Amino acid sequence: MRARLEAGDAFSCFGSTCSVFVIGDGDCGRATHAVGWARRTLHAWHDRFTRFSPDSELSRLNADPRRAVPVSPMMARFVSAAIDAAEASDGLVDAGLLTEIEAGGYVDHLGRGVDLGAALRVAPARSPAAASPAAAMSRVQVADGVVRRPPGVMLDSGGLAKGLFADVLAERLGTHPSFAVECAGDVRVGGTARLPRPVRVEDPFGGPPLHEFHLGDAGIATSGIGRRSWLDDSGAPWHHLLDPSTGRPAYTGVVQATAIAPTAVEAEMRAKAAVLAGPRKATGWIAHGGVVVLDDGRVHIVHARDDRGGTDE
Amino acid sequence: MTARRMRILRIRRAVAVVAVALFVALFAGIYVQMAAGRDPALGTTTTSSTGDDSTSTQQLPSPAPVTTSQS
Repeated sequence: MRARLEAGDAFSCFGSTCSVFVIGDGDCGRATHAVGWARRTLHAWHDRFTRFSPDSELSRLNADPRRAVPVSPMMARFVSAAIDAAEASDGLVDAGLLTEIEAGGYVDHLGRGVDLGAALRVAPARSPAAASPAAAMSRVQVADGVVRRPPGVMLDSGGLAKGLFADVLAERLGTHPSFAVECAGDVRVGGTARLPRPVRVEDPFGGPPLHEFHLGDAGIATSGIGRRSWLDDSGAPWHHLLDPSTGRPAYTGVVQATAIAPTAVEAEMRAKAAVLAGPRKATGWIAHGGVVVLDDGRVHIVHARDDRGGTDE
Repeated sequence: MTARRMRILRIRRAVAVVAVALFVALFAGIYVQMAAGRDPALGTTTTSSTGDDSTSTQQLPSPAPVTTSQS
């Protein structure tokens, strides 16, 4: 009797770590082949979507002086997802803030980042973020493989792209009995057997996992201000989650939010919106389940709805 | 003499055709395997958690835990 195995691999990608797990055969062949295919695909997408290489498709799109730019099918899907996220979050989640984030100093891969507790002590007064009346994403369109936007509007792939990548991999990996894709923190789990898989929520302050969900078919993503942070020339703390209304880092009172949703890209949008909305409205963005962590370390858990195979403990 | 040469020519042709056909079939097989993602060089993946090969859900191994963190 031949042993059935769960194949898995963890590797560096997107300036972070990704991992893929697959059980059993499916459209990608055997589990080990599926893992290898997913790894190669993620590396290829990294090269296409990184803004730190002038030769990437994203950098060429951002630098293109034309109003209408033909793009690859995957880039078109990302731009469409970014437009949808802006609309669904009422403008809170804005992928068109690249100019502002680069002006703040985020122009290359960041190292370890600023200690979260130290950054919070010197951060500005807390207030919820708001949409920008002149949101760049409202002027971006995509149709028939062509992106239309005013020249100068630049897109940041960020967490939305990572959620999308996990979802696109899931379209093939979902034919296997069970799989998980963890794409730099954004997770998509599923499979024909709908096996509940433990998904742990990391503590932004470095402690043990805050919670463990058991999800059979879902996306789950975490967003926050604890990573990808730095000090500007004046010594002020910055991070990558900007308030669209000010173009400055958002200090809302929420340091991290985890959201469950049918897809990883929706989970990413919900997690970002929960952080940006502030403590009073954060839990409203994690209706499918999730975890919100406040500045003072308090943790609010919204238990998972089990209509997609999810439970928690 | 001519008949003998003709026979030799036929045999040479047959050997050449068979050799070319075998060569094409072999590399077509390798191409199909690679295109399907079955690359034998992918030896870096790891495996964990063994179980039975039955198609029954109860026989599947427990899925490994994953962690969601700030991206």
